[in-house]
Amino acid sequence: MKKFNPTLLLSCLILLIVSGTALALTGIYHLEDTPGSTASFETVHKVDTESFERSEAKTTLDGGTYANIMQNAQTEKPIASTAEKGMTIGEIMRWAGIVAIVVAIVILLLIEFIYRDRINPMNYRILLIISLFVLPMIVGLGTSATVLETTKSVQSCGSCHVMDPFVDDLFDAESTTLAARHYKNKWIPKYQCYTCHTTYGAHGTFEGKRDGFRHWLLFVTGTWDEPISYSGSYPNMNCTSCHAGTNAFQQVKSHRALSSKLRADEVSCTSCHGPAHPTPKERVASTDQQEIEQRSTSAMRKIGPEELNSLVEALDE
Amino acid sequence: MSKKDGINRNKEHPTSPDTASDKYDGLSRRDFMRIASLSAAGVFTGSLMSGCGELWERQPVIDVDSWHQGVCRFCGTGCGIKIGMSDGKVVDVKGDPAAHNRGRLCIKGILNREILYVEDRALYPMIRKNGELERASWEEAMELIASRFSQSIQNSGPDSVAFYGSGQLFTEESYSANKLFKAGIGTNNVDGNPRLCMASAAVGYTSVFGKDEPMGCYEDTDHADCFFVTGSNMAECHPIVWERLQDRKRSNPDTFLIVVDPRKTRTAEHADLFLQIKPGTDVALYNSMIYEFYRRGLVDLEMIEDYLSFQSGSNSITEEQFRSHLEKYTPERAASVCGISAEQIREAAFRFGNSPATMSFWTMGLNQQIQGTAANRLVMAMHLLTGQIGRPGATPFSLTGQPNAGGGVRDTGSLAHALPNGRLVANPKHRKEMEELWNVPEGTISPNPGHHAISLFQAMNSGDVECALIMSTNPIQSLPNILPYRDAMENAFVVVADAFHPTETTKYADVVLPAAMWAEKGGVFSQSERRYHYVPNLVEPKGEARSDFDIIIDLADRLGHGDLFPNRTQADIWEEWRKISAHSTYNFEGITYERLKNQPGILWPCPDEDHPGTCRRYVPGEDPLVKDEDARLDFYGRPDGRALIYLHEQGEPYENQNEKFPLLLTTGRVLEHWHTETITRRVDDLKNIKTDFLEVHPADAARYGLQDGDDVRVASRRGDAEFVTRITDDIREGLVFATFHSAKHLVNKVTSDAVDPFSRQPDYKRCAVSIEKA
Repeated sequence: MKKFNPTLLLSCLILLIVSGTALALTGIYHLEDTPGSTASFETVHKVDTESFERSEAKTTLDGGTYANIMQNAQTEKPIASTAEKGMTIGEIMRWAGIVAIVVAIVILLLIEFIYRDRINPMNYRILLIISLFVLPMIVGLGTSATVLETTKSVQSCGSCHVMDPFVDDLFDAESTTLAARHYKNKWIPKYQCYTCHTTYGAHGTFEGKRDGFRHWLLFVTGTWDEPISYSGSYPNMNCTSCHAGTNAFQQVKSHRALSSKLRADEVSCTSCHGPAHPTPKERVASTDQQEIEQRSTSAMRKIGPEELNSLVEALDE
Repeated sequence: MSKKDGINRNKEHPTSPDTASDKYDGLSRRDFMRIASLSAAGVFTGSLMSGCGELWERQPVIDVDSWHQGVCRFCGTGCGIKIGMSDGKVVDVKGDPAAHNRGRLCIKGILNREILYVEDRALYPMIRKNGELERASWEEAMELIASRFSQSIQNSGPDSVAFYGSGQLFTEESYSANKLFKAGIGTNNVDGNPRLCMASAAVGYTSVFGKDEPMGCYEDTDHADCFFVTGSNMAECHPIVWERLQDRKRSNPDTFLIVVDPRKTRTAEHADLFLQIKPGTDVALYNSMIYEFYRRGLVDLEMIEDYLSFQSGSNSITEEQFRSHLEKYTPERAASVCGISAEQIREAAFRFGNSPATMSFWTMGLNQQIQGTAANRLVMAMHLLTGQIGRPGATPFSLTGQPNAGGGVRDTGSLAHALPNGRLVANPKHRKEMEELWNVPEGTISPNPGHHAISLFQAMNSGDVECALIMSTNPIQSLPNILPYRDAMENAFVVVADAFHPTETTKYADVVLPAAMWAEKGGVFSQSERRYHYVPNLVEPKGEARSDFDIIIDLADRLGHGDLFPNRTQADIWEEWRKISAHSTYNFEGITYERLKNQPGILWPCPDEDHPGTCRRYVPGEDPLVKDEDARLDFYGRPDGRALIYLHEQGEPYENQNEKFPLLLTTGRVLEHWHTETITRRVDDLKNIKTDFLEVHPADAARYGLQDGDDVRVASRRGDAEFVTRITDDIREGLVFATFHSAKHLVNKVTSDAVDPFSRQPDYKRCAVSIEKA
């Protein structure tokens, strides 16, 4: 009897941890790849992928190498179709995590309930260490990597309603913000939010996650201020890591004149090329516009086809 | 250290101070360890605290205590900015997201943060003694100015003194100077640098619509389906308006862009249709496009029926007469004049007339030529005849070059022929109205129009004008054919108030007054789209500098006209001015300082304080001054409500090319520098941007044996200047191009001072020259 109790307790604890992690993993898995969720996300944010066919490469990056690179990228890497993606590190890690958790559960079940008395205590302890510490460590790594990877997706950013004006704008084919143009012209093939909102370099990912964590904290505590604004100076490295090597960038005299200020982030790229996202005024305006549209469409529905015809005739006269 | 130890020890052993003092001579090991660990903890916590912000949230690179709403110092785009202050200094400037520029600025706008602190700021008054400028006190300088001005007025009459202002002064300053000279001293010798840049557009608008200033606004850019950009390198000279135009193309890629320019500018590179005409032949092009409108049936009959009249010179004509004049301008004939193909003209006309909404932009390319007024009128006529007017996106829009040429100079009537709010000196009724509004005796305002810019400097040369006050501008670099006007500066007694010394103009001044600039003084600017907006006073002027307003009021007092300004502050002047505007169709009575300080500007007409401002003038439902609400348009500036279509023939060049001067020279700008570089050349970041080049076509370069980078001398009948050759096929063969920015390479020694017969604006865009290797 004395022997039984701690084992049961241990087993329960292990089961709890394991099932919790498994649940989290399933959740993450579900979040990224379910076609249904992507579709519903696109409906909520009114993504009209067909309208992105019109390219503005000619008007903005006339003849620059950047345009060529990006145009090639456009044909090679289609976006917004998760099915066609190859295995990413995130996915490998996710599968590693899932396999590890399954193996850990199996080992625990086996050594606890079937082979408990048949193996020597040393092997028992080693297997216990493996399934309680080593495999969960892999699970932990896999989970972190998956979380890091999945939170890069636009869906992940857009899952919070504070981001609605920005995500809506991203998918608005007529919008002229930098974000929308990079999206519709497929200048950034995927992770469109994350690509511009991490800092390239040693601390980059940390800074990106720090901001993400802070946003999450502000969100759950309900302590953010509207209209939200970018805090601090935007790191130009986010732009220059793609653009600085191109002819189109280097030919501009203003870039050369401001090079030291741009490097020190004393002048932001968006100072001239912005706005990156709708300005606070435009965010309000777009919400108003949506309301008007909704109201007018609902009013339209009330008019029957006959009534509509008579109205058209009256207009013709 | 020992004292500190004592205190620590006492705290630790409060009951045994004696033993403690016996025990320690220096620092015990235990105490040392404690101090070491404490300081280590302190350093650790301290570093954690100081880096804490960065751990939690990204920090700005530039520390700013407070942000203030303001306006850019430079071009006529008039971008809204946020000025960041720290320790009483401007440390950062960024675009205002709430303003029309959506937070965008060009490089000049960003560098507003540096302009107050660059070298060569004028710090104290200077008086020329024995040929040299010497430091003087304000009292001494102002007393000298007042005595010389009074002496001239007494001996030679009021028309012997003059004011030469600028589109960079605040509205209150230009208004006060205009009032002092016209209603106080009694001379109409008030002109300024807007004569060199905006006069043709002002005369164009006034003669066609009856009132000055564009009827459209920047917002029209968001609705246009076709842009007709003629004589404007918007991409470099109005980059932020250009970005908005680009935005329209980005959101609606079917938007069509037509660019007319003799050079393949950065604007032209983006054109869907580029008409690279010979300089000075655009009148033929517009006539030909109108011919095509008629031929294709693109003319709006309702407009002709109800809203238009036809005019030739000062006589009205019939539409038939107008059409028969057009017969000379078939696309084939015009094509041979303009040096482009007839098909290009047909295409341009079709696109212009057939698009749902067409918007035109133009600037100096149109204005700075001897047919500047004609070109302006014809572009407006193209819009009127096709009905491309008064709808969102359909408007003829002239861009201004300075931050306050429109509101400050054109609307206040600070020009030799004008009085406030579109009134004319030559009109006795207008003079009487202004005398009443200004509360001065009848007959105070002289009935004779004063000297316009070029004629003013000629009069200074001949001695007719003895004293002149020049404010916030650099005419001895910016006037065309500059050499004779240097003598003018030496012949007359000239006072120059500027924020910088030396400039080409202060070099020749008799008195230099240090002026405050931009955020060192507060006031109202008005940009291309009739938007009044406010620049706050945030910092103390450099050295002994004073605002131009203070100088004008001081001079008024010393000349005995202080009673014209019963209230001394700029705010009172603005109150007076906005109330006077209510007596005209330029009504902006509703624009108060209070409102301007709380929002990034308001577009007039704005008759009361609840009015949000007007995007489109003459349009019922938008313009509060429109009387007939049922009409399509109401050109209330004209007595009969009908806008005028002028007949203009393509003229001959005033100066022919010949064997000695076989090429044409045209002038312009680059994005990074502004006007005479007085400010921008002194900003460190811009010092390496070259403005000393001469663009030459490869064929011409071969002809004259020029290589890229060679020194080249350009000579005209008037003078010569040296540049560095830049070979490019972006320019027409037979044409060379230089910027007017550089003081060391003065292209204005070469350019001609021939003027437009209506607007008196000089032609900087075409003169006959020769080039040779220097």
